[in-house]
Amino acid sequence: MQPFNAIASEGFAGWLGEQGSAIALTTGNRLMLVGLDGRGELRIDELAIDGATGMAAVGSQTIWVAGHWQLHRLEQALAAGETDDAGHDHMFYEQVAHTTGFVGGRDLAIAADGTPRFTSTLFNCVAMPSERHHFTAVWRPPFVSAYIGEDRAHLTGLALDDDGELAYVTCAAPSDVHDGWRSALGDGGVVVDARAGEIVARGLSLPHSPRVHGDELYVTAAGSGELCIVDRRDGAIETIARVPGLARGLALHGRFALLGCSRVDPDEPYVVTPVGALAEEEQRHELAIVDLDRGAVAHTLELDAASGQMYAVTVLPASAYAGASDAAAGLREELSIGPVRRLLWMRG
Amino acid sequence: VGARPLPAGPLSEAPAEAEPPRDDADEIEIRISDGFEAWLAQQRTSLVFALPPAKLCLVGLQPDGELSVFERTFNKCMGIAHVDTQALYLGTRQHVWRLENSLRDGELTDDGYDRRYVPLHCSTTGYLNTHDLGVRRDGRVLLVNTRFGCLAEPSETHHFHPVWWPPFLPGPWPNDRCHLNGLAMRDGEAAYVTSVSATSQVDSWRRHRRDGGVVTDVATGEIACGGLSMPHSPRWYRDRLWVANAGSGELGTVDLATGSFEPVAFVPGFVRGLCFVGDYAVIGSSKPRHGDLYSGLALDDRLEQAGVDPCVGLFVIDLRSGRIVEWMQLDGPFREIFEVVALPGVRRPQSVGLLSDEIRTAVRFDSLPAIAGPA
Repeated sequence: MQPFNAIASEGFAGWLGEQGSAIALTTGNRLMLVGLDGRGELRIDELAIDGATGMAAVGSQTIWVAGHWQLHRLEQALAAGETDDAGHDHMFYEQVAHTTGFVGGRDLAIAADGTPRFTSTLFNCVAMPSERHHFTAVWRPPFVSAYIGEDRAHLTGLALDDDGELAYVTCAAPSDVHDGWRSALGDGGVVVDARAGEIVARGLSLPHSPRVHGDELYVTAAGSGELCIVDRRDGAIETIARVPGLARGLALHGRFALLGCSRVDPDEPYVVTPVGALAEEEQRHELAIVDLDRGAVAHTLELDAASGQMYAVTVLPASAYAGASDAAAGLREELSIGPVRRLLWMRG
Repeated sequence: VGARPLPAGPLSEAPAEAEPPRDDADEIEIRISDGFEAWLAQQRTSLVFALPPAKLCLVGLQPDGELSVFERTFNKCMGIAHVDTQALYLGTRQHVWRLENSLRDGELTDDGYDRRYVPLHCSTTGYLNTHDLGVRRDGRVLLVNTRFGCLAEPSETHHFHPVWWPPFLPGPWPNDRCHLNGLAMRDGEAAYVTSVSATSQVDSWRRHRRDGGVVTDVATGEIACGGLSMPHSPRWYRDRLWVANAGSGELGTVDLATGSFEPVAFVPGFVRGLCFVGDYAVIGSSKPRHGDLYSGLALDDRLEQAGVDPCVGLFVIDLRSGRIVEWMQLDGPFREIFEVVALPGVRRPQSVGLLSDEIRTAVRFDSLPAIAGPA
């Protein structure tokens, strides 16, 4: 993993302290955990995860990450109130990996049954892990005629409703031909109501990260660097805030939105998007904290591009300072032993 | 802002060096008895075995009846169990893997394999020195957690859940006290376990290697057979309890009424890894080495008397005569075999490697009925 530099805006650490929470980010090649140590110093821990994109947490105990060809389930090993020598109050390690094969995962959320749902850009679908297969496809948009590995619509994001049911999905274009989305990067993106099977909003540039928060449906337009609210009745799109880069990876936390902002790689297809047209020095690579009441970026954590493209952000509400360990090395001696599950016929 | 350095490394089991997928196992030199291939054909079976420290081997028959050998790398590959030949469980240094057959009934791969095991699920156990595995009736896996002296289940949330430990141990504690190593399943539940001693002091089993070994009845906690030398691989087959008395090189049965061990066959090696196919047992043989854990036992004297050098390999024993009828000898960067499992009805198995392109590209999926289908 390449080392990287991070620069926090003046108020970032104070804001993080007020939230009393740590933040998890995925950046394509690693999981980053941003928190404050016992002295209130900002800390970033990281764990190498090949192809880390979609990510979601169950409380502050479990983090699921979609990787290059596996889904990783990280568990945290410390008991309530316990800290390790470095002061971490949560320590994550990889407990389970599911092989999915390469599916082009982008977004991930935890459904009501406790299992993840993730988007596959390659297979144009929302999927879940399977016992017998690489994955089980659970939904595809009405405009894609087959579950097929052709990345037709570039299905990027998914939102669950408050009951943990699949509610909204974003696609770069409502296309049913191989790689068809690539010619619609400027404004071809759609938000789809998954249950109705209907497009509810159009005209977005590479939409990502739909989220239901309170009464609102939020979505990012990655290609135009916008955080938007979609009016679910008439499809009207209201821009809440702008960032100078690909707006992708979104968590809503109270009156704040945590939004990933990535520089456009000059070699990638997104140079044709509006943010791709910005001069290189105008683009930023950062985690932006948007104050929703003010409609403005309040704080930033700027990262250099060596950290990789940002894909997902989530809040770990019960942790101030979370760490992660490579299970192959770190937890060899100190194992996390579960409760005894007695065999029914065990005596005594 | 400080970034805390963490050891970089792959999260998976795969070793750092790339392993290209390949059909023939050039690192493993195999010699077989004249009738070995015909025996596999007659019995309609193939075999999977574990060669610690690194290899899983799948042996079957090519279309022309020649031996087919397929090997994959897993770090400290030890216990193996299968579910109706459709899934393989594998215990490794820090994980339990489940490999699923990705082929449909009757389907062959382009190159003629009738099982293709894909590593689909990996549960981290941490280092437990995992030995035997068993699959319970409800499909859950049990592992012999040698480091903690207990039977355990892999977990989604923890490294393991302890489920049972011998009464002579105070609990599922670390530091390998009795070297609990083998598990016999009967009717889908844990029935018997083997350990090198029935002692509870840390590491005390090493002093009891010659005759302190026991078979313990899981349901009652009572010792079903004592006085064994490094017993391994207890198995319930045809209404009898079989056990490999490794330190004497003997396969035998336990008379459950008297608690005595009845030898059935002598095998020139440290016997461990055992499965049954019809009227035959297939048993693994490892090489004791002077001064190591497997030497200084009765086996040494018997090998010297017989004038044979022990080998790493498999022996097929006819249960009716107690004779070795076929064998396979293995040479390579290993000196032990830990487990062998028969896959009845499977002719030619293969498996997908963790570092191969196939693990990413040969994707098989199913789908739920559409919530909102195409209009």
